[in-house]
Amino acid sequence: MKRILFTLLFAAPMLAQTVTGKFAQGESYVEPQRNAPPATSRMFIRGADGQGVDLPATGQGGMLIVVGDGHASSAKLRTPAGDSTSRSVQHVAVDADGHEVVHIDRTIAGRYHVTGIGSGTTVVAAEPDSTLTLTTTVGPLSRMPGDPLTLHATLRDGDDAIDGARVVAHLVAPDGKIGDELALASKGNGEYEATINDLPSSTNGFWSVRYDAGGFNAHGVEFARSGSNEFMNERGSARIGNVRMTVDGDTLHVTADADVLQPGRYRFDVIVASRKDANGERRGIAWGESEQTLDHGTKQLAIDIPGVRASDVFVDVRLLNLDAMGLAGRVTLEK
Amino acid sequence: MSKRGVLFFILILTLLAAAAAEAKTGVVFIHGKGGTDLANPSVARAYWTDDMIRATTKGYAIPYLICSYDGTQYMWVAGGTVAGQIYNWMNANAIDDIVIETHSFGGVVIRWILSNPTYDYRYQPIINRIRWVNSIAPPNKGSEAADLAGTLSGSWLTGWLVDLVGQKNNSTTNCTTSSMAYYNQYYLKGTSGRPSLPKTIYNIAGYGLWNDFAHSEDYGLATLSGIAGLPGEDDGMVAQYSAQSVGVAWFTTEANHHHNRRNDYRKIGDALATDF
Repeated sequence: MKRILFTLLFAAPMLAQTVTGKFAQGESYVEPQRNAPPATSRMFIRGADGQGVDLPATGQGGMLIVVGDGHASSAKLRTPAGDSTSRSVQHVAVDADGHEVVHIDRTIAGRYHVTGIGSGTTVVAAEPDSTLTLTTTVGPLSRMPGDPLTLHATLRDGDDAIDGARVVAHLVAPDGKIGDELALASKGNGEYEATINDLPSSTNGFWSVRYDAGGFNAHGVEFARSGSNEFMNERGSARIGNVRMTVDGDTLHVTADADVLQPGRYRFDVIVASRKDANGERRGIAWGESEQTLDHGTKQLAIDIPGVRASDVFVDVRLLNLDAMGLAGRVTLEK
Repeated sequence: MSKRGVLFFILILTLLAAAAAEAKTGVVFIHGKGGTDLANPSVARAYWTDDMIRATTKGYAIPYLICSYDGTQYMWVAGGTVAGQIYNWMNANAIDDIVIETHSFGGVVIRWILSNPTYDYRYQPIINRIRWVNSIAPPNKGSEAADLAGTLSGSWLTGWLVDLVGQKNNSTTNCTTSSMAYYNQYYLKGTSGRPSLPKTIYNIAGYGLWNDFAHSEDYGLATLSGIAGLPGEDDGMVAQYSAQSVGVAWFTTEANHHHNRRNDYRKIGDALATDF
């Protein structure tokens, strides 16, 4: 008896795979961002050779220096003026194990030189107070197979654009494999860009884009900056199209055709919003999600969303993969 | 209504009242990302510290569960482990009123559960019993500190910085600002312009860095904040804008990311205990 009751209680939720809801009163609907959110950096990375490593400082405030394995105690720093005993340089412990960072209160514009560290050691330097920034993005954030990928970087020193810098990027696959160097071309006004049509591999998941920039600002001061963004390289596991919607009473009936290339667990998501108002904004109305296992081939998806009376609505229809997270397809429709 | 109908109505009311009288409150702790050893219950308990658990549960008077999961995994993997633990605990102890306390990535893990009720048969019964969630320093829009792991990819770096940021593993990838922008628009609810969550999240954001000069961890977090370029106020790991992008801002705390899961520098456990 207990087993029957248990089955009745818990089998029901397992079978009921559709949920719907309404947006809060006055809540706006927001379109998915096309590109990765911009990331702003005031730090850079250098690798030491047998003679140590040079760290260009802008002279715009302090600098933090992290050495490879965290043991900065052996690192010796020479200022651009050739001083190795500057009082502005401090070694600070950062954890209970005695790992240290080097902290310079106020830098002089020019190259600091670090010695006493092994060849190949990575050195991270940051100028948190500097006005010289590298801002990067990559798009699309959700890249479907065949989509070109645009890498974008902006270099600014306060309000001044920095042109003539060298800006490169490396794509890093989800498995950690690093691609060849890609040069970003100057577009003027401190903007740099590269577009690529193919990735080094078709590996699905989040890829990183690591940017490195170097050059001189308008005052001839040398700088370096590094940054990163990520994008999702989608599997292309299914396609969605032929979206239709009808209103029956206060229920919106939405259907779409899915062409499934990789069978598995998927979720059919529909967000209902108003037409754009005078400010170009849409008001969220309702939403529905229907999870199902789809076999290979064409399948019609359908969902009923209650509480939608108007027929002049906008729908944002998505098919999400639930086996390996990722967007299989997205279509919008306005009536 | 007939006499029999009235009697039946009274009987139903009595049963409902009896059920309500037996309502049993419990509190669940969900930790943040970290190492694989966080799957060990004793490591997860140490993450929170005994004083935080004692304070929150009013001297252990409130039944509690400390979830433990592999801190290197994606939110849906962590969510499965956490859901299994909550589901078994609430059923075994007849807990039907749950307050969830999360720290850092734990706030993203519970959002995954709240946002995807059909993903796992245990999610909806758990959601039904949640009163609300108190989320301490959740990277709801990601963390620039996690982005740093991407910037450092391909570099040979070990030691304290990597210990703080995390290796470039699945949970760190989950917490980058790019990944969270992606998940927020397709898989997670609660950010502006998305459907709302089925239960309220009260967020607690940290804004302090230099809490306790006796602990060198504070220097580490302050250094990380400077290197990662966390915008605006932050607790050394998560910026305030990110923590407050979901739910209702309950309060902000001077306690940094090291201290805001503890009941030491600021008595956050005492504040959480006011729910009971």
